[in-house]
Amino acid sequence: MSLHLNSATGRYIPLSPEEKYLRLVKIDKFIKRYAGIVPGMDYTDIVCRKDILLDIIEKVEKRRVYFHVFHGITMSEQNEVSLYCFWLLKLSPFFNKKHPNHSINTSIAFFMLYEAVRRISAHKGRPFIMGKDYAHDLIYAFQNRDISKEAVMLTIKSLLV
Amino acid sequence: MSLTQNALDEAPFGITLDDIAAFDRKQEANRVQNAPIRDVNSRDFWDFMLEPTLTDDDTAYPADVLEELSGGELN
Repeated sequence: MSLHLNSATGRYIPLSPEEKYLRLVKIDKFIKRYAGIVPGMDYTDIVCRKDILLDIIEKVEKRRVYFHVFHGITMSEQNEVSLYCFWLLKLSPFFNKKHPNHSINTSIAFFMLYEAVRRISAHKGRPFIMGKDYAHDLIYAFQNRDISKEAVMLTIKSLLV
Repeated sequence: MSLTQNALDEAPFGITLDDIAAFDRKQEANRVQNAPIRDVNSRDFWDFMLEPTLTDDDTAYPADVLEELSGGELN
């Protein structure tokens, strides 16, 4: 996976349509998994605002270049999932047409965070348990509070002790 | 860029080159260093999120978490 940076000009190189498409295929699989796990959720009820999701993919990619250029680091999974969570909450690309009151973007962002922390913990051989109270508070915070990208990053870091 | 002795003697706001070097070291130490787990050359973030793990058992997904995910709107 090459960095989308023009080394001659120092400018960001946008993802190609094919690269965006491949990423969409994987996100779609992830959303199918989400719909398969959450009780009462049907994948076919999930509507996606295409332009917003494509914009989110590009925003995250830009941040990868930012981390490389300004901090000299490779974006980790915990930082990448934080960015996806932040933009999902901010731009709300998904809609549950059967249950319009369902805060599906909050739900998907939480699921994404949970899955990432679970996977990172497993890779590091560390246990990960999240209680109902914490899950409830985090979802409430996602839904009602202004949370920055860095705050999500810090939240994930604190879950990976 | 080299500084003249006159410029060095000025120490604006009492800040010296040593102070600046100490500040830079602190900034470097504060840099967030989370190395990716996956091999970034062959697998992207979504590969990581989709790969099966040892703890993958959807039927055993915590009931508490599932309840929160549905937000009470889906039943």
